[in-house]
Amino acid sequence: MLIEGRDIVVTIEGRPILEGESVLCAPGKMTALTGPSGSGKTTLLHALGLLVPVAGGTVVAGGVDVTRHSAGRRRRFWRDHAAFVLQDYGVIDDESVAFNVTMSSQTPRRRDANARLTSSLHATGLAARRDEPASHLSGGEKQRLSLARAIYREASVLFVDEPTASLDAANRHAVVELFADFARGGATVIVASHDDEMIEACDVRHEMMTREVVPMSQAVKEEG
Amino acid sequence: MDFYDRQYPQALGVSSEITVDFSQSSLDEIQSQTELRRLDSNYGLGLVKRLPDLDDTGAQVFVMLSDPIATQRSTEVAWFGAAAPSRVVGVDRIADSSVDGSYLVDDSDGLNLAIAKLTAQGVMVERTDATPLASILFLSQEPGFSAPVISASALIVAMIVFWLAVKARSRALRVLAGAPPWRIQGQDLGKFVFLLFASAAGVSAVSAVLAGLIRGWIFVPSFIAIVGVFQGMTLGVTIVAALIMSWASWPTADVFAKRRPAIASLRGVAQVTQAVTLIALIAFAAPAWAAADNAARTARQLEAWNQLSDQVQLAFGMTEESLDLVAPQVARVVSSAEKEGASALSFTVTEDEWQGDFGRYSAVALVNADWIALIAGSSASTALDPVKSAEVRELVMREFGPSFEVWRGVPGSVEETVDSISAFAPAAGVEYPVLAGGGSQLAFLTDVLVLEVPSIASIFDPHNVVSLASSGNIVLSGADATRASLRSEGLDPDGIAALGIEGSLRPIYAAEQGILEGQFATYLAQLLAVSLIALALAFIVAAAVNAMVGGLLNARRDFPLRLSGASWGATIKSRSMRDMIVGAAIGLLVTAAQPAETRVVTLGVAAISLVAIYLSHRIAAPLIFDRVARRML
Repeated sequence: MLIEGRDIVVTIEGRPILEGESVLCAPGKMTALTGPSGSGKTTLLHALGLLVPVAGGTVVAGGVDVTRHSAGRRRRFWRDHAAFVLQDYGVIDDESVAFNVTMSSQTPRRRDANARLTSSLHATGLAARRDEPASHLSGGEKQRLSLARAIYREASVLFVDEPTASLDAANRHAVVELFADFARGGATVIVASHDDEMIEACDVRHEMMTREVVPMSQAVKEEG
Repeated sequence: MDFYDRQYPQALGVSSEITVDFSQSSLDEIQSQTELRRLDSNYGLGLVKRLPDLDDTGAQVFVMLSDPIATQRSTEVAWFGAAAPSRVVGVDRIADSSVDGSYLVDDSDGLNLAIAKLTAQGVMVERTDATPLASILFLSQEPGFSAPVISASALIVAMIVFWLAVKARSRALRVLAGAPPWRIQGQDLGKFVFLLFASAAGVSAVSAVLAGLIRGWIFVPSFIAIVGVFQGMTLGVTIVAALIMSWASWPTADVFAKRRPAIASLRGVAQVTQAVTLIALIAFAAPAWAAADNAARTARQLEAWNQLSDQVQLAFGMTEESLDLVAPQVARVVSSAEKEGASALSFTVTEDEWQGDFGRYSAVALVNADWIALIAGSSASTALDPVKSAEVRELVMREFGPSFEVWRGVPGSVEETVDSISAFAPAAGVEYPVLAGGGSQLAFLTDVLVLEVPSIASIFDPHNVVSLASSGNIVLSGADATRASLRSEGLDPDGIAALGIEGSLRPIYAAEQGILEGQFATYLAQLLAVSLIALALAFIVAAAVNAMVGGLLNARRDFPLRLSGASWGATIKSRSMRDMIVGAAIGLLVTAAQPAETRVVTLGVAAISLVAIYLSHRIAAPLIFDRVARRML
């Protein structure tokens, strides 16, 4: 699903956070939103994911202007298309790993749903932890758990916020690979990050400070 | 403050109130008044009697036993509330009033000595001192007022839970940073208590200045005292609750080790708070409603009392033997007044008092046409429906036949008497006012058999007329007209002395006490209505705060659920269902413990409460979600 933000303005409690940010996120690609802390990466990610209302500009998802979607339509967008991997508030600690993937306390009755649960847990290396409480998981495992949810739900767009910020090198690499795989499957992956490895794995980089969109191949050349 | 001012008018500088009853003393009405004024003067009490304003029965006048000009006091009583100022009138206003009743006291220094003097003469005296605490305690005994107080306390507790919920993570982090938990508790509670006291002091100061500017500076000392008492009670409850709950959520870094949200330790406290709030609301709603309904009904009865505002009863200050001497003259006074439509009879006996069988009626009232006409002024014309004579003749013959002979003093006259009576019963839904057996009190009955007699003299001989007049079951129209009638029959003070009788006979207004009580009931009904609104508001706020706490506690759950496309109903389902099941169980238990007549109200309140609980969760969850989405939590 093509996600496009045009001249997005976001203010929080009267303070301007974004002032006319534009970005285009294509399906099958990973788009990195980069910039220093406080530049508005996460806010832009939330605006594109319809988590925060925008004061100006438009958000277009799959060719539909979703900027002024009601609460009900936003919920349907999240239910039918989107998945989130957030720094915090992404995992329900009290519930099991399986619950966190399906968001239901019941085992999926349909065979295909059950198979999706199993495969999503396998894909993220959590199959053995299926019935454990999520609170037992490490930071990297929780990130993978969020991704397992996206895989299970066959989300067409994935909003990811600083997924590798608190991970060691091995976990970071594993998580980056999982996101890349997810994008290769045709999903739109939008990542707010300042982690070089994560950014380098992305296909497109949106630099918040310069408002420039730089294809990764060109960016690497320039840096070289 | 308004209630306190109503009880003890601040504009008069009232310090106490005494209620006197001379009925057991050897003093007659005039002697009693003389003695009371003597003690007032000797001890400098500044006694003031509160009476209804006969020109405006919704208002009151104040009678100073001492001359108001001589004592240099105000000739007008301003109220703290919105009521128009009342008049202070001269002592001649109580010439036609009963000496019994309540008196406001300006200076209580010599009050104990005065009370001792009265008590020594057989007078029953009850003293109440004007203190804000006593007034508040009086109010708190009314379920209608205690319910909002309890709900407000639950609200305070809920807000403390909310405060602790907001601070939970920072408290745990401070422990992690090496701060001793007891110091964290001390710092947090110290800050909390300081803020409470500072805001209480600020509110007191501002409201006292506003009260002074808007209502008058004379009210400010009492206002500050009352606000102080309320704030003291509130602060006490708040501090105790904060101490208990701070202790229950002792700051610890274990939450990090256990990977649990710091706020999780408050879940139990929050649930208990909500349950207690719900119990308070449901348990007190029905009694509060019943109290308000009762007060409102009494207030409606004020209309009937107002119809009697010009009616007087005869106050006999003489011996039993002397009563016999004046009986023929008194009977003529009553009879001549009745011919002019100015003498109303209402004598009621209940089935229990009579120890008889009144069938489907709880009481039987003997009235005359003047009484029916008098009450018709306050009721719809269909207040009474006729009852066929055949239906009640047997009852009347059986229960009252022998008495009619005695009352009329004519043997063998029962048939004739019963034939002359017309029977009525209150129309559907009408509470018909009749004077109780002892007079001076109106009973409002729906199932009374009203027997209209042709005339008072047709049923009662002169001795019984005197008996009924002295008990207040015969009332006459107008104090001046009655005085003139007594004079014409030789029953004025000189005439009575000429008969060789030591004592007095004078008219006194029959409805003054009833009107005052009706006025108070009207005021109480208004207060109770306000307190019911306060009760509902307190519960709504408490439910909202609890829902916010629930939202905070479940933020980590709600957020991913919602982002997975769950509806708000599904997102809050587990906790709202749990709360509603607990609420329903509490509602049923409390309802079962209520008297049968209030169960419908209790169940209704419980049902509305459950809806409020659900809606509060439904509203709170999106608010918390929005805060999380904006990274403000």
